[in-house]
Amino acid sequence: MVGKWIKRLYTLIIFGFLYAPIAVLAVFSFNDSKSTAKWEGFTLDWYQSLFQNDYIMKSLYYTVLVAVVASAVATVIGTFAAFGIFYMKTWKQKAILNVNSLPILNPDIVTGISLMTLFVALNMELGLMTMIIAHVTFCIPYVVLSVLPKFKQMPSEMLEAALDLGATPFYAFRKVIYPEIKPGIITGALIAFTLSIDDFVISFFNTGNGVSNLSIAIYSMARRGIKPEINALSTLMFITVLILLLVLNKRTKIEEI
Amino acid sequence: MIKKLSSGPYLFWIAMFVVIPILMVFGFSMITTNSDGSWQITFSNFTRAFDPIYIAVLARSLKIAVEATLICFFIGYPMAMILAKMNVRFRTFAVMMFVVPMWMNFLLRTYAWMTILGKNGVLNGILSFLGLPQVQFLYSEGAVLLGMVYNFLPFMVLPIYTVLTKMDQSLIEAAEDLGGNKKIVFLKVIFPLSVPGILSGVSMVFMPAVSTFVISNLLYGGQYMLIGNLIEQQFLVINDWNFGSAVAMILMLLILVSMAIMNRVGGDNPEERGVNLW
Amino acid sequence: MSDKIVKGLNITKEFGGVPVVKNIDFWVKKNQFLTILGPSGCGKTTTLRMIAGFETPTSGQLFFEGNEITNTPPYMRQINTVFQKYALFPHMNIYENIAFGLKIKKASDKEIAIKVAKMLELVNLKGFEKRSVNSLSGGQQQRIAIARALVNEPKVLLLDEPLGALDLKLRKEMQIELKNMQKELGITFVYVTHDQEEALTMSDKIIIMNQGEIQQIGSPIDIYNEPENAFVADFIGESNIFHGTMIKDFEVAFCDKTFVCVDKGFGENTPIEVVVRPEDVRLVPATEGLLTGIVKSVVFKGVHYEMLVAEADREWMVHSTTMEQEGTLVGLFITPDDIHIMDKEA
Repeated sequence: MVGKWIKRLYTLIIFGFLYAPIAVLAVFSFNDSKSTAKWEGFTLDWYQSLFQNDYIMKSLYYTVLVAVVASAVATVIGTFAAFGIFYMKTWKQKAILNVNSLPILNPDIVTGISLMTLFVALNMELGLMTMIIAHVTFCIPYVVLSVLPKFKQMPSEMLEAALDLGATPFYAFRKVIYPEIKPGIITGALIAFTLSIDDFVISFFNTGNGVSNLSIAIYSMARRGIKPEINALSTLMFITVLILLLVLNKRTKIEEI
Repeated sequence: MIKKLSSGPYLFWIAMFVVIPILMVFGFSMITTNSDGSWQITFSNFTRAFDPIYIAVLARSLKIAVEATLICFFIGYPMAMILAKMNVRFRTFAVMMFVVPMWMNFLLRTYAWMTILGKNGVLNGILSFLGLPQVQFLYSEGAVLLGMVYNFLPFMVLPIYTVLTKMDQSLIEAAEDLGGNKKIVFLKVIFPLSVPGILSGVSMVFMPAVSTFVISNLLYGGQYMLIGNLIEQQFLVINDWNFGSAVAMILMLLILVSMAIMNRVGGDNPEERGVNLW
Repeated sequence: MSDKIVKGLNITKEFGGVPVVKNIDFWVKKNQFLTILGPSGCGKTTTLRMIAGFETPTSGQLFFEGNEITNTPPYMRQINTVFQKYALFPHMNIYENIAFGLKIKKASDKEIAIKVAKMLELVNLKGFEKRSVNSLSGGQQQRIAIARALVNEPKVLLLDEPLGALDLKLRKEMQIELKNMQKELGITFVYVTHDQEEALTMSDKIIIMNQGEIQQIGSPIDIYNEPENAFVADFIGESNIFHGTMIKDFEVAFCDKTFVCVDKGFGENTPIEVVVRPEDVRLVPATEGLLTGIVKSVVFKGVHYEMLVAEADREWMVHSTTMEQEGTLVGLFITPDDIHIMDKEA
């Protein structure tokens, strides 16, 4: 019986540890003062100034833009890549998968500076374009890794069976292969999207020209000290994430049934 | 034919934006540029990296990363066990709640600790409320460690949790049936079977911890340098790309080698962990 | 136009420079049940996949009803395949699986419904339309795979070890069903298997392959009775194979004895190989035998006993409906027409 209470207490402490910082941010986002030490009364001012902050709003726009474009491009390239890789010879497949895992295993900072080196060498101006390319680069491997197992799980000779019954390769892909690998594509796209939204390090080295994403905005503001607008922003983001996860959770449960 | 064509764009992309950039960094690390613009091949960037100052940086990075990994493991393993043993209905919810903070922006999570640990932060607010003297929590090694543990703890818990829930219950029952008490069952069956999860967790904590420059920048400030900060500084501030590249190559080698060792130790199923290296 | 519906000329297929099928010629006649038989890795499945269009020959030509189809993609061929592991589309129900090919041909819904129903009746799975693929047993999935191919009314149906995954009893049943279906529908079947018994029961003609080469083409009876070489003899049923010498026409020496036989034309004193089927060896009292030996082991096989007889330093396998005790001295008797002579393999 004692063990049970110890477990509960332990769980409580850990969850407290995880949520305390978020709770602090949320509470002080309503504080009528710049301080994060003392409660000075309720206000929504910080939310207002958050939405009036051009820099943050523009960063939000770029974050979403880059995430949508990069995850879409990465998903398409990665899915077709997985198709090709699946039908490759074993040794070739192994070699490519090893290269594929490089951006995953490599520290972000190494990926970041190496891409920057390339862009500078190519005389490309760092900005939106380079950031999108960088994001596509680190997203593709995850798409490949989530789609490839679906090909492997696919009953053997699926493609041949469809071609045999008169389907053109394109028709076969659409009607037979795509439905089989769809869950993998969706997972891959979601991973790509979240990675892109969340990325800081690689973006940090590969952007410029006034283009920045939310992570970069938060970083540069945080370096200059506490900004209550960031408190407001994190509260909003937390709520968004929570709702998203709850919805996703519910949806997957329904799908499972 | 179609099968071959379909991976074409990917192969181009990977070659162009993964392989070539890494080769370029390697190339940069092997040359020095003279003042007249000419360059020559040299090892000096690497020998420089073994100066005592930089060795200290590397050692500090490793030390903190190892500490963070160990703390995450000792805090995380019991948590994973508790989560795995919850009844299914409550478990899904609990795991989800565990994941939610991880989905928050990494920078925000780190920033949150600035507001807590800062000079005018929550902790000091509480101290002064209690009439105690203020303490400088922020900008210390401890703050960096805390930031790492906070950010990376879920990466340790989730793989272990996954392994524990997937474990074949009949193995545990068999061990009990053969007379093993709780302690023996844990030490001889559960723990050894959870090693793949632990390895996965360890690498998922150690890797970002050893290479971060964000946590140290925000929670320690500029002067304190981890290997990540060193690279960032060389590229963005000091503009010595050759030396920066050399340090980056060392970091990359360090990570890839430790991953390869882990895979060897963990053996059988690298694909399950989404990691595939030689 | 001849009645050869599929014809292969000098077909070679290499994978990464390694030849898997080596310069083979073959043809399939209309309405024939042709079996390509051989051990795994002999090139039989590759040959089938070339006929289906999944692989393109490295060299050589393929003809279908007189027209060259060497490079025609699979979806342009009037040939359908039943796959070894069925390859049913798991995200579609039974009806949708069978209707797949018809939909591509833009058949009307009504036509599709009628044809699918007819097919399900043919394979004895009436009323299974709405079932999911995963709810079916292996045997049922196999029938659906056959229905899915046949509904397109192919001129040739290719079957790649279709019964390999089924248990013995079901396999026997399906063998008979398949044969009946082929007769009833009048479709050419090209059947790939490594099971010699299956091949002998079902086929009109058998092609035996080994290491990418055709060893023999013939009717089941020809192949069983007159194997052209030791490989075929060994592969088609268990056999006693001995080295021997053809002394002259109608006289052969093996097992240290001279026998009368029915073969001729091998020349004089030519080294050859001799095949004697286990069921062709009669056990007689030791004094009456052409050879004598001691029974080493006896295994009851249901219909007959399988006995190993040690004769000098050789072993004979004998099938007999009567049993001899282990250790008994017995005589072996073989009639001249049960001695099969084959060229010595290079």
